[in-house]
Amino acid sequence: MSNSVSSFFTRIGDFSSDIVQRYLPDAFIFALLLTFLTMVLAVVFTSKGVFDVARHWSQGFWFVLKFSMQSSLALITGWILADSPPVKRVLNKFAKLPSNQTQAIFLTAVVGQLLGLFHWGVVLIGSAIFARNVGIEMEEKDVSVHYPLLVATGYAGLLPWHQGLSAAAPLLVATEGHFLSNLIGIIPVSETIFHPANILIALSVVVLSVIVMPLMSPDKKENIVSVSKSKLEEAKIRGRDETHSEHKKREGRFKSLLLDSKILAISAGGLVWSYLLYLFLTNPFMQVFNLNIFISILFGSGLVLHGNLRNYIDVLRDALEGASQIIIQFQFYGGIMGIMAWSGLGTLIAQTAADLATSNTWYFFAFLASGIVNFFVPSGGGQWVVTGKVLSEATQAIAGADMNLMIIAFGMGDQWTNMIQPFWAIPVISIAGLSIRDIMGYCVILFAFSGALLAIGTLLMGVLL
Amino acid sequence: MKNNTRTEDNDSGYNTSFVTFLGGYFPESMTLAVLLSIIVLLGSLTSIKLLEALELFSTGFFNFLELQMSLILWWMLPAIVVESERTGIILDKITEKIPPKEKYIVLITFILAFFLGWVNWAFGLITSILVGQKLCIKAKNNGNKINYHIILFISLLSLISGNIGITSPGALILTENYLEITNISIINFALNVQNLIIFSSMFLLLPLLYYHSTGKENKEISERDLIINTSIKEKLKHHNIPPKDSWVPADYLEYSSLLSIIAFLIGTTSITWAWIHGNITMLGILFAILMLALISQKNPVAFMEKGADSTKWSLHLAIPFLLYAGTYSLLTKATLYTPIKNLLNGIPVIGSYLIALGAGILIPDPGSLWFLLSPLSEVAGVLNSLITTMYAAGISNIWLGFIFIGILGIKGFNWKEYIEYALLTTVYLSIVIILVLTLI
Repeated sequence: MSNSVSSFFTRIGDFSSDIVQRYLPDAFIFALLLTFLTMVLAVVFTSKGVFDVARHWSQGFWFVLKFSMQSSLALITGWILADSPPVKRVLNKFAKLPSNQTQAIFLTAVVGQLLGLFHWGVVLIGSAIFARNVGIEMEEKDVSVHYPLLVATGYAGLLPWHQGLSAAAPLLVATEGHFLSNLIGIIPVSETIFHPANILIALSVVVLSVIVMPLMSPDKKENIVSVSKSKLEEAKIRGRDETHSEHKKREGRFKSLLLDSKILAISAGGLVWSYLLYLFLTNPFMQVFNLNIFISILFGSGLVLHGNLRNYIDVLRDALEGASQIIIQFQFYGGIMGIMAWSGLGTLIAQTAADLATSNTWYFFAFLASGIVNFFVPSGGGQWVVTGKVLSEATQAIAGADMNLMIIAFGMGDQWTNMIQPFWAIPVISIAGLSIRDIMGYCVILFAFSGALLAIGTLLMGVLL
Repeated sequence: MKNNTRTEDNDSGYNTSFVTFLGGYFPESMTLAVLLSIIVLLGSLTSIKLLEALELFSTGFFNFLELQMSLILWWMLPAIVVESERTGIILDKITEKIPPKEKYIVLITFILAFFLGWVNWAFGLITSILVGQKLCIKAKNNGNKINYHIILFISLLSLISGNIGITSPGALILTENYLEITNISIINFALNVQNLIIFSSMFLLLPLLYYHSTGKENKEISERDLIINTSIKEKLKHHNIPPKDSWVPADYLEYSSLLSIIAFLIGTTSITWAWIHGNITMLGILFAILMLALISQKNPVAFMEKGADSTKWSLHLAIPFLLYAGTYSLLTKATLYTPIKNLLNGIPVIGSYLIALGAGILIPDPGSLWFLLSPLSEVAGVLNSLITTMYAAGISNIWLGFIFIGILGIKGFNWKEYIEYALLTTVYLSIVIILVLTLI
């Protein structure tokens, strides 16, 4: 029985991956096509004309400028930290634990899901780095592991994020003076993130992910794609620390002294950490922890753990190149968000869902609308800004509907379609050295199963609560 | 690109070339940023508490993330435009039309470095280096003697023109609300009379440099500097499309230039409309350059590949900016700008200029330099300060020319000769800048 289940998942995993490999273009092409699709939808379904929509595109293009820098910095500083000798030692120790493919994917799934429940920024960087290291370790141990599935599993850690501790909409509505506070008041996290229904559904999503992903492991040797040789070489070269010797020969003493100085790097990192320690010791962690603080943690830790600026700068080159997709592509999503917001398309989708709903089905429709809009506005917080008002007004208009449950459903929809939207996968594939085509096939399967689970969850919320 | 490392040990000029030699003493902008921020942190303790200083040091960058990304894109996007096969074809056509004689080569390099540089740094720097070198090779093959050293140095002068033209980073920063100082339009800055007079005076640098180089030997292009093997197009070609019979359906989208063309047309329509009805801003300029970058590359995948490669131009800025922002926050909060302002009171123009020149050696990115020095603009006025800072940034970038030229794989000529040219340029332009801004 268990063999036939496993074989079923392997076959659908292979099938989905084959389809995606053939038909899904690069993440950037996807962003371009999505831009054109949004433009067409806005022209057809809203009162805006062609020129208006074109204008909204360039106006909104820099919508996520700040966020793209935050994401780039999280990736760059996270990459640099993960490449520091002490972190590599720890990661390698964990990465060495599995002894076969199923164990490797299971472990990556567990790590990814835990990180996802903790923070959406941490999971994108942490699980990608972990998956990369597991892939390298397995290859060095001569254990065949399908690397694209391993990385997809790491990325799947993002699935429960909007039900976890960093959930954007629940945290936002719990904040004094949030932009909808006049309409819905303050809703504490005890009624959203820590609501029993949310916890139960989130745990179900986690269990589903750690079961489904390992089950998709290819069983035939010819279907297994190991970590690339270049990634292995890169890891080996860094391990031997050979890259500096050529440059060092021609350096002035003063330059060598500064670059190799332990005092300089460690004191700079130590200064950052001394403030962070004070911050964490005097405030509740989750109250002060955010993406900016996360970047500070990574930055300070990277400086301390590399031990000198030469090593730090050396890794910086690769890390910055790895962030290039975020630096450029995120702006295109800003353009899409601009069209969605200013043309009224986002509001229209939310309104349509509200019009179709009853008190029993409202959470399901809110989930569905949120899933659709997330495809065009991948930022959870950004999406709440675009559709939050309409969804809140609709909740008030539907008798028996609860605001907190609508917000939970909204988060579930937002996180769900991340599995088929390449936006968040960009940092992951940059770190792993893969293309979106390599991982998305497996995510599509998780998308289908988790979709069913989440849909049932929202319907039960409507009927039982 | 030609592989230079093979000949390094046998090449006696390699170790004395200015990129290798001077680069061997420059401790990287990241190191200098760390030093600068720690020194400022210690200095700030005279006015603010340790905890507050540590907070600003660690989290000062939180408020400047948009500026940081804009500056990174300012370096990356134009490089994607220029380092493309299509631009290579245009540059090859230019080199075909120019007779391989010294005066023509100097003139075309000068025009590209100065006028295209005035439009944008990458347009000036990369094109003038490639065209200058291609023509020098052509001349060498024809048996014509050419002063390659001067041609290479002229190309580097685009590091100045790029800072004071219509995409000057300092002026563009002032078109957005990144800093709490008066906004100035980019046109008012670029077409400012004093700015234009100083820019025009740079033409005189040409005969001065030439006169100075007279009598120097071995001015021809060396083997180690050859970065163009056949054509500029080949040099800039970075993307190969696999044979069509191996394509899967998704490849038809990935290698489709139609997608780039559609995006370009919508984008240019949109930005033109925006410029007609509003101001020219930094983000507007970056959007326009992004559209140019899309169309200049063969297809969207080539665009993304070059995007990854072009991050090399922003290496000196990406992470150091976190420390610059911390430094700025510390200087502001601890009112450490005030004693500097007091110092400048008697000599606003000369003082601002000299401070920017010195700081420019520590901070190679002109945009970041202006960001850090902008609070001092109260003394000499925003426009005057901007002009002095942008020229100073350009001149200090000449001294740090090895950073930029090294990215292209060029090692350059003897460092002593390079320093002579850099010194001559610095002295001449410093006199002109101070005279123009003081007297006019």
